[in-house]
Amino acid sequence: MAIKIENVSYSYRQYAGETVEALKNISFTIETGDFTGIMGPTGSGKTTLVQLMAGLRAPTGGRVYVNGEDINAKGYDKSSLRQRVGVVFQYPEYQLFAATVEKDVAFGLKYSGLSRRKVTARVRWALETMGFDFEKIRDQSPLALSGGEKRRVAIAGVIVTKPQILIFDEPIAGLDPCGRENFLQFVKQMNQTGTTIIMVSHNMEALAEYTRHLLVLEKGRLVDSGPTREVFARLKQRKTGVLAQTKAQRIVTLLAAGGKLALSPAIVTYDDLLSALKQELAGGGRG
Amino acid sequence: MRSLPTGQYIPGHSLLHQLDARVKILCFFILMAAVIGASSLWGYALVLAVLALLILFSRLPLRCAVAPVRRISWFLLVILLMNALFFGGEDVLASWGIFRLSYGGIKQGFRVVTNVVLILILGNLLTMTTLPTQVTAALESLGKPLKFIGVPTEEVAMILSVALQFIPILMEEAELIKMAQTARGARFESRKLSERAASFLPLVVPIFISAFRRAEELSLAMEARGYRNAKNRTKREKEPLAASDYSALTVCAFICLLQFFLLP
Repeated sequence: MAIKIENVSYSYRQYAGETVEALKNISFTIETGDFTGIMGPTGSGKTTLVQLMAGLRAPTGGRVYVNGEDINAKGYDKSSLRQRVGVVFQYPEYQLFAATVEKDVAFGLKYSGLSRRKVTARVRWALETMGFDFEKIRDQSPLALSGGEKRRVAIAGVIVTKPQILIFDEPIAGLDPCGRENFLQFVKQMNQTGTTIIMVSHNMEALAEYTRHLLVLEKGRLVDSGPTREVFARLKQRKTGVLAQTKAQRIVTLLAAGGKLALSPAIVTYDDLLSALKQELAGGGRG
Repeated sequence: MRSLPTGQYIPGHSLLHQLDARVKILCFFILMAAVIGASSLWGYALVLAVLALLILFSRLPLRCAVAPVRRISWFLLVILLMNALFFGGEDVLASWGIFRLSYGGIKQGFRVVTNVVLILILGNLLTMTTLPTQVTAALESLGKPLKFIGVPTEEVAMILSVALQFIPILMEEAELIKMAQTARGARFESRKLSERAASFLPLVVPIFISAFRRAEELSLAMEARGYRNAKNRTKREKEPLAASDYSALTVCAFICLLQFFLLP
């Protein structure tokens, strides 16, 4: 398993003595090579959970294991964790700082001990993976690029260490539809080459289509987890609000509500809906 | 990064919270004068008793009220030593080269440190019981007379309140950027100075950029909503002083008079 969270709690200290519990006794396991989504309303503790998994905060209770090792144990080598776990935060473009794109992307390899030639090769790979022409972009200032380009450079700066686990915190917020599609394709590709992916998102369609497992947070509690389709089917029954459903699911509900067409409740994605409708048409033709 | 809050507003309904901000600022200056005017043990006993009562009235935990003192304890030690070693005076206890440790110097050092500590706690009580927006509004109102000699008090107050609003936002952003760079391998907590220095730029550059970005956005937003300087702007809250405000002022003035004219 890649990440194991065991009875983890986290509370923020506020004013004198007051604490706010952001996460309450959470446990789950993420297998190596999996594509896991995390969803939940704002303030449900998603970002805190991401920071705990990356070892950027220590839990106030419980343990976090990465590759079977307790990352908050004494003597654990955090710098090797940084090479193995990559995190892309919300609006990663705000973390760009160097004079050239090449230097900025190479920052993650500063303590890797790789030779200069190898570093350049890695930076080239990372930028090309993110769809750039390395020779054209390497000497440009990252701050003079457009918003979408900045974000891709920032992501290149994270994947440059070739992390085994990649965590994305709402990566597609603020991207145009084309950029979103390209980005999700890239993540899928990374996953297919063996990288464990964890993606926090509010976008139900993206979660339904791309993730294999899903964790649902609500007010700091893990309210549901399991294979994506099963979770979506359960969420529909829980009626936690329309936000927790995909558009395809909502279309099925609308069709059923009018007594017009009863489709399978297992439909989650547009592809499901399309094949169900095709079947319905074919069936109708026969009858 | 977020340890004990120092000087940050803590919501509450205590006596100090309810006083008018203008009155609190005036009282702060009057009591500051009383602290500086203290010249005997009796004088210090008086201001210390007043401070203790104020902390009691504020209903803040003592730990929070004195937190800023602990923050600058090193600085205080330096003040004490500088005074003790360089003050000069007649009764020299010992001397090494340019250093001359004297009884008078030690006394002076303790006096200066005590004054700084007391005023620091006073100021802390003021900001912990008053919203930053109230403080700037009060400063604007108290500074009105300066307008006649050409000081743009309204603009100064606006600049102050905007600056105050930015502090928590930038703090939060700094924390997020620090985390993001840590995840990329920056070593902020390294024992090696060179590694810590190398982590400095990745933190500072993004914070500066974001400060400028936010400033530009805010100025555009203000302009879009019709803000123009040198216009008499109306206040949202206009409250006359209450009886408790007048009595607080009277008590503080009395303490100050006592300090200057009655105590040795």
